[in-house]
Amino acid sequence: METSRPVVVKRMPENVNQRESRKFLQDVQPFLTADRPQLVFDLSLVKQLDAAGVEMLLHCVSEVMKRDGDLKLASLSRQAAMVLELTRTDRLFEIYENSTEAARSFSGFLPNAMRPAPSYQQTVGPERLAA
Amino acid sequence: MDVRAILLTGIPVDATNVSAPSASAPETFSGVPLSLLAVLGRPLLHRIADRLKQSGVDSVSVLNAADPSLALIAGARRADLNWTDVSPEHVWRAAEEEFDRLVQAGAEIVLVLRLGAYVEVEIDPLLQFHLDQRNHTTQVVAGDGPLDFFVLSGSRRNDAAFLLRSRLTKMRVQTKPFFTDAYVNRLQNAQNLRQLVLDSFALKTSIQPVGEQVRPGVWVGCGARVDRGVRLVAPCYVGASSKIRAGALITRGSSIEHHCIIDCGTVVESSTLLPLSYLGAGLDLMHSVVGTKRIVSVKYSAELAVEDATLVSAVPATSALRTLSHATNLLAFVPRQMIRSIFGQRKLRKSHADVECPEPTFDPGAVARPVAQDRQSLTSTVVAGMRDYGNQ
Repeated sequence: METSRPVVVKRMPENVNQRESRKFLQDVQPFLTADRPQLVFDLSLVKQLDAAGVEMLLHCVSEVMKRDGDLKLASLSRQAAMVLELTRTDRLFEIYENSTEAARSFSGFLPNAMRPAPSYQQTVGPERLAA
Repeated sequence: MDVRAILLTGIPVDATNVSAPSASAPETFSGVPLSLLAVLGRPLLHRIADRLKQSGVDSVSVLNAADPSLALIAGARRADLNWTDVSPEHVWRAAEEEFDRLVQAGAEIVLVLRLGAYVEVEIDPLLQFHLDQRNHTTQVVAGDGPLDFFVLSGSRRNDAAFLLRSRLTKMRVQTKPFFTDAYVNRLQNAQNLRQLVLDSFALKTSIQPVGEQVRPGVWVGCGARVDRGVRLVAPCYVGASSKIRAGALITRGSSIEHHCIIDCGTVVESSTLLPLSYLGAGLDLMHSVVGTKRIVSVKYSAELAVEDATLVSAVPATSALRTLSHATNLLAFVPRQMIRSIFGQRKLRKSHADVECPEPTFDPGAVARPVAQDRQSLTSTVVAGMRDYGNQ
């Protein structure tokens, strides 16, 4: 099932606190409000992620879902993975090892889209990675 | 026989590096030596000191090179231990002076331990071995390698000085070591600390949880407040004066040390909360050690400094500060809620009339039918049919 709609990949900043979250949200707002948006957030740089950052992610996914799109996360740093697990939000997102995999997953069937978990997530089953 | 002991804590692992231990240094958690942290209700240092005293050691001196202003280190002080805070640069010199002082006070044998590893070596066989071998210095060796645990003869001052000046790396005269098969945990990192807790629950160590065993495998310390809606699944430990709020789940060998607060609905699985830690509401903590606003994940092998107080924060160390903090929270609650309701983003939506709802003039009685008229009478055929199809 090929799609011609673009996949937007955004890299999140190192410190995702309230201020940075607001700024990041302003940056991605045009993409969130597009028709059936396809977004990938790259969290490889993230060292700090607080409750405001998690709330911003949830806001983004909610906006995207409203418009029949999807938001996927890629290249989670260990710290980001810890916070998402701590706040029980990891199960709400599809998480991929890198942005390329995540972008490719938009154009494939779900079984083809699934990839092995990142090396630090070996203990997590593949079904956990799917939303 | 007069036997005394010197315990050295907070010394950097690398003998050449005498700077203060950093947050991520081995054998420490956020700058606090792991040996000074509480495990199942009591600091490991206290457990080691008590074990030495039970084995006949007359006095225990502690030389601490870690930052004494940290709350967790201050909590490890005890009146019956000769506690001295020294800088990491001078700790070995201080150890030498302490050895001299103990010998002048009549010590015939001095045990020197760098903590370091948690060991449960039997002292009597060790001393007997030292005397039988006529060693000046005896090192204890475990199955996985030598330990920083030495027996020094009081009369051999030069050997002791050589050993301490070489930072426990060289002996003046090489002697036969004492091999032990006792329980040893190297306490290099948070994973080792978790392993120690699990081993203690599994009775592999002599560590007993401090508190009352309310159910098999569930210990609750003095003054702990556990809500009725909390699930404590054995084995687990809740330390003294801790608060576990409604809907929380503590499971799989978790250890909540003293004066911790776990907020509503949080799950703590196979994790340790160090003393004076607050864990926010609705979280899922797994395979981690939490303390001093930090989370160390055993699963991810990563450390995270948390600045968001709604997730993890520290409880004030003194009771006066704790009371003040609670009073402030209580007083600020109502104004905070008012401000949120006025300026917050979440506002109540106006209710709209559902277009499919019946009009107010609608009379339900007008369309009501007497239900009893539709019912079939319970004849034998009907009952048989109900039996046949009842399961469907």
